[in-house]
Amino acid sequence: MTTFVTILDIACGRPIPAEDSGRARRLQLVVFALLASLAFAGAWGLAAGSQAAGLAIANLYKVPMVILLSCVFAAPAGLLAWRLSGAPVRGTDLALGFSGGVFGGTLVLAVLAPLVALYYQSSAWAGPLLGIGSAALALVVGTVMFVRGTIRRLPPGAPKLAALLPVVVTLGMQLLTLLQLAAIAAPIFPERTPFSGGIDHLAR
Amino acid sequence: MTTALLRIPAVRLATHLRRLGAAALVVASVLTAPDPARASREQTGDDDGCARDGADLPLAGAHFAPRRVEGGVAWDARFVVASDAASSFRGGALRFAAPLPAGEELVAAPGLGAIVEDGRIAGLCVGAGARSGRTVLASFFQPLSGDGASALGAPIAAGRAVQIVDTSVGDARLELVGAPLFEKHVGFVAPRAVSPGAREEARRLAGVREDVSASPIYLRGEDARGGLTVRVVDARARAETSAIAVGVAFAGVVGGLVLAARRLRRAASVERADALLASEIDAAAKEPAG
Repeated sequence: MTTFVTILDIACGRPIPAEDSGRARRLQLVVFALLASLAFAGAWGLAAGSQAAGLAIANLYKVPMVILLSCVFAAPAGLLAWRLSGAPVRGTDLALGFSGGVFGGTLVLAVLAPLVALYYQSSAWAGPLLGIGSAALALVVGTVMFVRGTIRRLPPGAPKLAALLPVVVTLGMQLLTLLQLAAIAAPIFPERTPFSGGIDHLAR
Repeated sequence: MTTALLRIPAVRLATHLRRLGAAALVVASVLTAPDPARASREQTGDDDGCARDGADLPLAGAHFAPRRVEGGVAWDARFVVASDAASSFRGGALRFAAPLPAGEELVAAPGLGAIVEDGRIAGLCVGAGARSGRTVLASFFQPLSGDGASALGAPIAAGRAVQIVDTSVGDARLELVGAPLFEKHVGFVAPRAVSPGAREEARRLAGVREDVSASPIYLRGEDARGGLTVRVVDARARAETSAIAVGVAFAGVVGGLVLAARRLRRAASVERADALLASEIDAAAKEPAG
């Protein structure tokens, strides 16, 4: 529970306590944040596919898979951008900010999961709308938390623009990979969505 | 009993006479056929454009769109007649670059007839009634049994007019197999000889919008003279194959995270304890003695 609260605090942009600022502890928090995100994403997946048992069970691993692999694919580009730009931020701070953003975004998904499930069971049009809407909201929240978490950990007087470059690269990469991974994992929703066919369908 | 026995040779005799009569009719029809080429024509329309005129239809462009139907693919063809010939159009023959695959059929339409050679459709007889403006519409049905490689069933007209073959069939896509003349580009497939200007003109004539995700084939009749082979690539099936690889990668990453969490647990708790101890020592040092 202490770790959960610490991750939540870090995701909210609060300063890292002195006892949690060691390298191993920071990496442990990153790993915990990602593992917790899998559980949150699974809960939302279950809700989004709750109309059919098969889809719900498949979503238990599909949604966490899409989110985790998008993080894994985006991280190297972000780290390279961080190195090349000479951003005035520690690598573990960037990793904490990123995992904090993912944690916050998936937490939004998890808290909205009951609402999504309820509307999917009781409404023909509001369920899909809430499903896509909650995913979009989670993306926005995750992005805000990542940006805020990184900027707040900058040393005083450090240029913010240079620190934002790796953040933008990471987010761009994650969005692009999310789009195609979601198409590969489709169907996640019972309905066909504009994202079911990936970039080819969106470009049409 | 005797009557029944007598009846058997009588029935046999009648059968033999009928067979003899049919053979005589076949011989007579072959001997009296006026033109072997015309005899091979199979008219399904009401206007024999080929018979009256005999001239080949000058073509400016064409567009072929496949549709998945039960048992195969339906090809919706739109042929665009050359503008100088459109006003004096009274019907004519539209020869294909290569005969259509065996079993492919023309969907009956007024003014249209199939030119059949060796059991395969080798062209169209286009009557005046089949034209609307400069456009001639025709539909073909190509039976397909599986998703393997098969002959391209689009009725590509002979000649130098650039024609467009759509490759999207529902969720599936047609991909050319063993066609070294054709180059795959982003958004289209075409032989090198078909210039960007020719593609633009073909799109304009056929009224086709450019679509980077559609990947149509631009070709002339001479590019398809020997017939083309395509493979049906099902996007869904391809995504399923990718999903297995993605699933394996996911399991690997989750395993790695769990392993990392275990390994970091001890180091992190030691770090944490050290930091707490250090902060307590600092706090104790700051307290006034006594």
